[in-house]
Amino acid sequence: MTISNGDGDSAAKDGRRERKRKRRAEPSLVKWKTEGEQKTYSSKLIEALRRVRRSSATGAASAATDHSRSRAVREAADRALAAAARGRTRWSRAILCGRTLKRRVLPRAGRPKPVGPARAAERSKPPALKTKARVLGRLVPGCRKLPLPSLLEEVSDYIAALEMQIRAMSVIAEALSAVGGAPSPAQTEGPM
Amino acid sequence: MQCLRTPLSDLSVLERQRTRAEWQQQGQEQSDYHPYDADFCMQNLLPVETSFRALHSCSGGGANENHGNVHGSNDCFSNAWPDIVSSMHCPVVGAAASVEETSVNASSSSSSRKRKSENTRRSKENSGGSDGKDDSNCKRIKEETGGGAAPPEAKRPNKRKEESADASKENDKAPKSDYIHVRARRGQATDSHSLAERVRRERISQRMKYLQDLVPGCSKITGKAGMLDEIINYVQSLQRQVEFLSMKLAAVNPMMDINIDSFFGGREINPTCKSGIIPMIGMSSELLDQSYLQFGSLQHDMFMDSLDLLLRPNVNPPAAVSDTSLGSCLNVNGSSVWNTNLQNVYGVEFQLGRGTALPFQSLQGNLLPNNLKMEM
Repeated sequence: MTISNGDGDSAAKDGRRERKRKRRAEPSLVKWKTEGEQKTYSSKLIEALRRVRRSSATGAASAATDHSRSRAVREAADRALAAAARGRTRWSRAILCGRTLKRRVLPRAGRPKPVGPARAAERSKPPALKTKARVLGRLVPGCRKLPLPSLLEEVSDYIAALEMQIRAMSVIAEALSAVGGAPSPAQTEGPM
Repeated sequence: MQCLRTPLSDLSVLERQRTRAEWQQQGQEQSDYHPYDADFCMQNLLPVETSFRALHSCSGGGANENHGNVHGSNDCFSNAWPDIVSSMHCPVVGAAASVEETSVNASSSSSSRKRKSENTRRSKENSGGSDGKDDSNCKRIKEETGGGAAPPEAKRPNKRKEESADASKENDKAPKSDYIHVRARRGQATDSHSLAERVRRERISQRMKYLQDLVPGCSKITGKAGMLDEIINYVQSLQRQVEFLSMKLAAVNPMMDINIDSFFGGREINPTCKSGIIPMIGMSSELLDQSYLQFGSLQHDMFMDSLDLLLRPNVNPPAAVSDTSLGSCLNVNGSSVWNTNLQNVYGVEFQLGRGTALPFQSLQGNLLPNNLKMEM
């Protein structure tokens, strides 16, 4: 990638300055790849699924349509993922506290025009990077108004977490469907 | 000032006109030199130019900017010009090279600040979200001095092409990386804004590089906009996958057995579960197939397409399944995420269904939960 400006010298200076400026280490994304983390998440997810199942069972069975059930499962999964993140990232905090708030806040009448620095020229032609950054901010929960560098950090953590979530959920779905398929082996064994 | 244009092979008519305008505004006495015209000034300036360049290359100072900006856009630098031009012209009269150097260097720091603010403003206007303000400006200047292509700003007169064509030879002497470095150093010295911007840009590029490793298939893409597009697509596909999986889980949920939690967390394996799993995992492909059909073609991304690819041929002619088909499918996906998913899903089935040691047995390795592995 040919984005970075200079080599060695200025970069090192800037790195030092950056470290002086904010003593926040970059969150390591290795934890999302570890097997232990996946297992932890899986157990949390299963607990959540059990709860969802119980709640949907006790409630009216007819009301629990496929869509609402899947949404409940998805939210449980996201909340479990956010809990696994231990609240160090913005998106995890947003998921944990914001699930109900988001629905109320959503119908916001018209975005207020972002007041940039006194540069009329910039407003007339919004850079494509800004719009893309905004789209990305909308995708990641809780990162709408974030400036680009912190947004990129959140996104990298979010991507790693999502990948782990997908891995865990597919394993669980696999196992569940396997066990769930136990009562009807005859039909499926035919073609094999 | 028509006579000005004719002998000019270099530096500019426009510069002349500009300086004239500035001088008239400021009412400097140097306007007296105008009647002498081009010839005198040009002849004296040409050696001045070359000597400037020599000075620039060895000093590597902000005077380089001046030189570069001579060929840069006119309008914004007009404010900065009087300093440089006046300094350039005093020595023209005196014809002392050393004086030029010092005067240029002296004025360059003050003018550089002005120019930088002009730069940033202009780059915001024109570049429209390119990599960085300084960088875009540098690039623009280099474009012009590179000479050939149509300059990005249409307002530039065609004369600029001649100038830039000539200037390109000289400007190429000044190495471009040094240009940026020099700006950085001077910027740090004088302007806290550019310093902050530079730090910010460095940070952004660092994070983009990190994301490039994270997002599959991004190594070929250079440029922030393309990268952001890829990232957006990837996040969307991941979220869609989560949706799909949650739907699948929701469908499977009511049938869930309580003993499931023995599969995870490294607890002891329930023997009933073990025996239940082994024949049943072989059915998993069918179930996945059915569930996939059930939930319809909601997903069109790679994951489901590959699942489909793998499911159909594998379910019907199980004996005919070869490593190559799976291998090719796995290669098609080309990303570790998909590989782990697929291995999770299918490796189990093949192991149990066939009982033969297949190559992806080793691939799975630590991907499956330990309990499931032990059952195999």
